[in-house]
Amino acid sequence: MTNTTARIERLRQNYIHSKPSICCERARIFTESHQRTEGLPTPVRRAQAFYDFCNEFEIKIFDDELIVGTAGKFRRSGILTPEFSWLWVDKEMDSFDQRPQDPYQMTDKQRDFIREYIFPYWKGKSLEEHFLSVLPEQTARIVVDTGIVDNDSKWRQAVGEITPDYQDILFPKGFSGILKDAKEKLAGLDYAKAEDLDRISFYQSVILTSQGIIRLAERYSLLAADMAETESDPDRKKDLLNIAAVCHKVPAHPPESFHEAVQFVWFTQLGGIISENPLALNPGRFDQYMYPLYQHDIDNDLLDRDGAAELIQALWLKLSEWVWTISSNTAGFFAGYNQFQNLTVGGRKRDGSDAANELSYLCLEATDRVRTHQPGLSVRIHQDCPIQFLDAVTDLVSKGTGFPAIHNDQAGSQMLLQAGYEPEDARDWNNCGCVVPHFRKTGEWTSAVNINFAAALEYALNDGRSRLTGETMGLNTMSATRYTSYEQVQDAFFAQLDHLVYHAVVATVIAQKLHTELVPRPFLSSCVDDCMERGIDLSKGGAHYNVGPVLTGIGLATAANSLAVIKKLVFEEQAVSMEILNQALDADWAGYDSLRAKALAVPKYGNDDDYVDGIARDIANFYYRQTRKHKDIFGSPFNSAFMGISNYIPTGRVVGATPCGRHAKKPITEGVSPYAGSDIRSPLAVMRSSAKINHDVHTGGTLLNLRLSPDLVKTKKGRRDLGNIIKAYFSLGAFHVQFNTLSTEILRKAQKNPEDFRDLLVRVAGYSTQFVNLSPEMQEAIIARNAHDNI
Amino acid sequence: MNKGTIIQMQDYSIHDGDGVRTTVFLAGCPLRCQWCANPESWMPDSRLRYETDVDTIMGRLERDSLFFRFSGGGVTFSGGEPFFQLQFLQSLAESCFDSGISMWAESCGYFSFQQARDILVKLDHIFIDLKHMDSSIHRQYTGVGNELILENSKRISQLGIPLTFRIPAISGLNLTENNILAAAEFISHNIPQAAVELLPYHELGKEKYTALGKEQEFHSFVTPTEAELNAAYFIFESFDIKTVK
Repeated sequence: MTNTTARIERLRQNYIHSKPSICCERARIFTESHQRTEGLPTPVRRAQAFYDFCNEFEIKIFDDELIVGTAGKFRRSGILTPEFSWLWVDKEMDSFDQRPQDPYQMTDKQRDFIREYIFPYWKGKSLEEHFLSVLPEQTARIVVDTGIVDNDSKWRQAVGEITPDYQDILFPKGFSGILKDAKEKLAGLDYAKAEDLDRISFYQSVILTSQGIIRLAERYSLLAADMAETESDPDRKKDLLNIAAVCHKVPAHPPESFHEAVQFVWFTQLGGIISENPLALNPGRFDQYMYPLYQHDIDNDLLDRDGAAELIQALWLKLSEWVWTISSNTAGFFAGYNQFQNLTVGGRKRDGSDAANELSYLCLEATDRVRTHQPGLSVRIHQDCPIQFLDAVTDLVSKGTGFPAIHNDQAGSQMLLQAGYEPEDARDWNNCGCVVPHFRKTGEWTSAVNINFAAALEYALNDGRSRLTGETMGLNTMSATRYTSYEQVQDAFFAQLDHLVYHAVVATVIAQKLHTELVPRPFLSSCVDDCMERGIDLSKGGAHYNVGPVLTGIGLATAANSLAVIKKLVFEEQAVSMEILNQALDADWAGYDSLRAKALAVPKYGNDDDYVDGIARDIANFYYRQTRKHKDIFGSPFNSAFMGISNYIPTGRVVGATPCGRHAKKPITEGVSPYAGSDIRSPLAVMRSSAKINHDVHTGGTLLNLRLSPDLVKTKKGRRDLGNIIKAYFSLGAFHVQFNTLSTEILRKAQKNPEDFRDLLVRVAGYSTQFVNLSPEMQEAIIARNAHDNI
Repeated sequence: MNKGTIIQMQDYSIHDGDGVRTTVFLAGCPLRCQWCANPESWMPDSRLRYETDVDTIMGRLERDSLFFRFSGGGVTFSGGEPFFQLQFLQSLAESCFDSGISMWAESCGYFSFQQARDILVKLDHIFIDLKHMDSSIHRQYTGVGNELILENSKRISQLGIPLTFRIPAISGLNLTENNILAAAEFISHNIPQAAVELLPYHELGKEKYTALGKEQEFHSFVTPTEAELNAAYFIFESFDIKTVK
């Protein structure tokens, strides 16, 4: 086992104690560059700005760094990308450091500078402004900052959602190879041919971005060499000379050592960050493309396992340091400074054989050692995966970090097959962002829109109006009091949901169209096949695979639980009328305690009860069919997903009380997870419920989060049992599961809000019981025992 | 008999046998151990138990058998005392046997061997409580002597069923050198292949006495230290007896 070295620990402490700070340099240099390039084609202007940043930005190498490069002046820098959006920055930046979710440091001097020199240039030019002026009014009402249908990360931000192709492009060619290809392609084009004009701009832009990233690395190389000259500590001097050599080599040329390869990966991330401040720029199958270099260094005694561990941990810190600058609305949906750089290990190779190698284990260890929130570490588990790998996975689960995200290898492949991938490519998948099965030769908006299912249900029950504002947001369906059968209620819900899907599609295709015109992506296009071959930018569909945008459903279980209550209490038992139920919801259950108790007693999704699980499946199937009916600007059908992030909180905030017993404004449900605290039987029952959803058709990913008592994974046997449970769950076709072991902190929260934590099972005496039902004295005893177990 | 009374079915049990198991806690017990952590199992007026039938239980077990298959688990009959509802257990055991579900049982060992024989031969493993080696002390704290329990243990072992003795370890009561030595001698002489597991006494059952309004029946004992447990394990190991920790 490797330990964290003293160097990594110092880097880690520095990371933990640095506050995320806004750096204006990227915005300044991009703006000044654009002022110089008025009139040139947009891709060329963006590429020139990228080059100018790489050439002008005042770079630094920080103490102890082995892997170098930042997109801003600070270790934890957030950059501004005014070409995408600046209105929200203007509105929000005065309180950046005070906002509750993901605050940033920013000085008054910076604010003055930005308002005087940056924003005026972009007025009327940004993607955000274009989008808001083009969006039809009836869509805008539903889509802009409402929490009902949300795609602001696609018009206030760049798309991201790319997995650079290290296997077939970057490592074999290096950026000098890409540069050479671009020059050759350009030489073969003719200004006299109309169809060549866009391609000319494309290759010109790739030439500039390739030169830019090479220039940036060369500058780091020179800086490191300079610093080495004056460095008095001989060890650090050696490090700096090494950094100088590494940065001289990569990313211009193919890496020939593990260190060079790690630095190459970071420069590629950095290039993506500088060009667009992306979410979900994924390192992908790191253990696969890095392994030959690792093996080479080990075989030639150039590196030992501990040395590799140190470099990997240094990369983990780099991936965590930079800050994805986002609006407070976006931060509600994507909380936690999360950049969603997904890194996937394990699974199968393209030929079908098992893919786990020493690096897979080193990656799992790195996450345990540095405990950073990045990368989003995912594993692919297949039925024949080595027991040691499964053990390493459950071992990390037992540490309580929440990592790794555990994925079903076969389900991921199946999802890609259904999306039209070639079988070998489908087998070679990695995760994008959080739980989206992805392949590196793909252009796809994997988290295009979030759609609030609970809102759709609210409109079906409330004449198309929001219960909290009274505003008409949905279709005018029949008044709820006139429903005479459950089927009518369900149909009305489906009609409202379909209506939201329609507006989500409108907002997406408009954004897609604007992206092609305003924010082409030359740097990332050069990292994805077949953009270079075809001379077409990613934003214009240049990738080998163009997969339809993903509409993420939020609140599946809330909707299913609520429909089950209506079915049972209103129509089967006639215990309450629709009228009274609606009054109770309007009153947020105040004065309707006994009705709420009855509603809570109706079966809830997550307990392996077909009564309500069947409703969840029907909703999911309907949603799949409706999303597939729409096509994006490339003619690809839209895709469905039930994934998570933190979107279940802001979506809940805008929805009144729901028939399931939920109070107004409380969170709804994420992914295919049950409503918090309503899965009172056991984690196995939750898995059974989740597996009833047809995961394979929801090619945008499905997500299940589960809480686990630490005593279940305390022993080797317990961890082995969990591994087997995961395999059993995956044998049903389910795609993802992630575990939070119960920290003392969670148990304390449960004491405060017992109703949200009814699912917490703890072993008491001989058998398990619900934690929240124990007396305070007993709860203390359990907490004490838990704390002991964690040692 | 198709119907019986149980306290609870708990899936994802990993502490009572191989793999992932579903434990069926059957109600009723012929003993009255003063340290009992599950008083609802023998208090007949208890609200913490309910009547059910073999089909209902089998329905749950068939669902759980997915997890049994992947983990090498199965069902564990516990209680209370599972053999206390002999006919009900017999029906359950037959159904599980026909469904290919691995069965373990956790018993106090106090039952008629002849009547239990058909069930016993279907078990893959049995836990038997060894509460005290001195029969009069055993009687004082549990209400019955230990002769039948020791005799049953031997006969079960002769059937070839793997056996683990579980000792509810209480400081000063049965976690004494004399008692541990006596237990070790009994096991090594009669059932040398059996394993031993010490379950340290805890007071987590107190809550239930309160819930049942029977606080006066709750007796407090002393929870052993780690050192005491290790000393006892050391004695068993010196007799070449397998221990479960």
